[in-house]
Amino acid sequence: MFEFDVLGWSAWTPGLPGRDAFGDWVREDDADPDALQGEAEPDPQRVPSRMSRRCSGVTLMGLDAALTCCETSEVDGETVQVVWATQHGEINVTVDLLESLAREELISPTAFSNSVPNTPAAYFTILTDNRNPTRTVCAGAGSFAHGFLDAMGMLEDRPDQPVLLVQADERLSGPLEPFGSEGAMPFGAALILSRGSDPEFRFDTGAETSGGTHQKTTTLPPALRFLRWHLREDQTPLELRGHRRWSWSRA
Amino acid sequence: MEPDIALTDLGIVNALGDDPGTVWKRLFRDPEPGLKDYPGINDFPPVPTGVVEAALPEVPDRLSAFDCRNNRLARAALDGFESALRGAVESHGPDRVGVVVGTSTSGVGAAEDAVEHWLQEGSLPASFDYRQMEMGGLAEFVRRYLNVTGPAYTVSTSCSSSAKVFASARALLRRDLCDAVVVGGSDSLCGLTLNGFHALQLVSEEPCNPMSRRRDGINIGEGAAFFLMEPGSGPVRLAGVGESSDAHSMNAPDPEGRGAEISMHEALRDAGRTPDKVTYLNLHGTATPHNDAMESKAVDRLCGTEVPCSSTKRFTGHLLGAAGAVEAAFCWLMLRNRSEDGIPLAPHRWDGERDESLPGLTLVGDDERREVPGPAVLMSNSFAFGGHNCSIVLEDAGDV
Repeated sequence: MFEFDVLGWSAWTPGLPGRDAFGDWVREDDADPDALQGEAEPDPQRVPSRMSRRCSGVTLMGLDAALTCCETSEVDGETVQVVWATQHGEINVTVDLLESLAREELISPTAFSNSVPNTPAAYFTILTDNRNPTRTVCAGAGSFAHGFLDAMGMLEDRPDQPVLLVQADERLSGPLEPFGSEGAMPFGAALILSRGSDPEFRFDTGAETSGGTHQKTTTLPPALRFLRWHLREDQTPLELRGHRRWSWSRA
Repeated sequence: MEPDIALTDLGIVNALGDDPGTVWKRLFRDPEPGLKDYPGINDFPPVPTGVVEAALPEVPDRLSAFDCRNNRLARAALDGFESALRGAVESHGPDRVGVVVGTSTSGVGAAEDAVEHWLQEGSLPASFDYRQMEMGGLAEFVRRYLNVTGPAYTVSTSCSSSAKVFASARALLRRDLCDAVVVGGSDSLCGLTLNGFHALQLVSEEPCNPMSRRRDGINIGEGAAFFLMEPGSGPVRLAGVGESSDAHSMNAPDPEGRGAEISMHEALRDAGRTPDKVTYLNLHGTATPHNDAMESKAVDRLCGTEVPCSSTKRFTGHLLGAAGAVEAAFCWLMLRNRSEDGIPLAPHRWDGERDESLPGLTLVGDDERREVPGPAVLMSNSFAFGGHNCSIVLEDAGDV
């Protein structure tokens, strides 16, 4: 069982493109998840143009969430440890490269070096001059839960250094579209997690005894469910189920 | 006081062999690098590559959705210590055994075939499932293969993936979430990395020459290594892990190696060791002009030039996402093979052409041993594109 505080947050979706939009939506009772869908694209101007033209949509969503999270908190982006969670990583860049390979074309070196799942985390550290430990966690539908777990581990090792936990994912498309979860949506989400002297929240994980099948993402992605739970000050614990049970509660 | 963390068993497969004994023989007792010329991609000439030529076990039918070379390599390594793994699951229970593993490729090779099929036929082959290429797929395959239900995830930070997993896994034990963690990594040869590194002009047409004035790039390799990590102090202790970021560039390291220096410094601090206590350092030593320059500067600043160092990348190629685990395995084997004459050290294989513009590190020759009264302190470096650095420190107890 871990105890933690939340020092900052942000989110970005094509229908709620930024922290304010997401915050407004979350405060509505019975808010419609369809509002998260939309046509907006992340603002490339968050990132210097020599970098932004190389950044994929999923990187820009994640960077928007990460940078806004730091800017709207009292925590400097340079000082945080970083866990970047992602299920699909740079999937569209990768599929484009695989199509080039199949056509026996030369592949772009820049696209290749930006096809790894740690691409957005690397951009974040470059933009904020962050020299701290950084990890990228991938665990399928459990990527948020396991990223959260890894962040708790980092706080154990360095309790005085908050952890920026980010998740960004885009929809599977092209040849991979049949493997996408029903209702999956592109998004970026960010939190700053800390260990305080009197933590407000608890996180726990245990065996899943109900014959667990992987939770399908038919509603919000777990990262956004967590944000909604946190921002609405929901008093009932948040539970996720996969091959394990994950729960967040107020201390 | 944190409990000690031990690496109690190992399974490994790479270009040197598919069991620890064979790998050790070809690394130390009878050194013989395992690179083979690999067929050219597109118009590129064949290049020396750490291909695993051994026949690999198949993936069980119940896990056919995960069938890809990467997971076959993983299975080959896991099967190498299957009785220890089974024993851990039986004695602790499946929900107390976790999996933290690293990869940079996952099964993208299977996706290459699938995309080609899709372009030609308009459909995917029936054998393809996205979970083969998904980065989380490696951890999920290992979890299901071992029938465990502890936390299971993949760390994917390019060439430091399966070094960072040691820190992640250790935290699970220290917080008593697990009684054992399967920790390591697997990476497989595929068109994407072979072409990609060619496109970056980072692939050598010869067996690589780390630290040489003629060094001109990497050999790519494949393979897997997994450990059983448990609370305890023997036979080999995970004494420390250090991490840092370069905050410099997407595909070149900080030329001064400041991030590399921090990574090593933090690992030693975590281990409670001063730099003069390092028995041996396994360099990241990829033989790119940039890596070797910055790494040798960082080592010199932190440790001086007396510490015995070697890069083992000519033996196996650069295993990218699996490099951290495989090179940790080499350190583990060095410690396990301590004799009255001391710790045997993995030799540095290169063309012998020292780069005089770099600090003159002490590079290990063939058949060298180092007498170490008390615990031997071995450090291994892994530095990744994007500047994600990780160094780990392994120690033994000090007796033969």
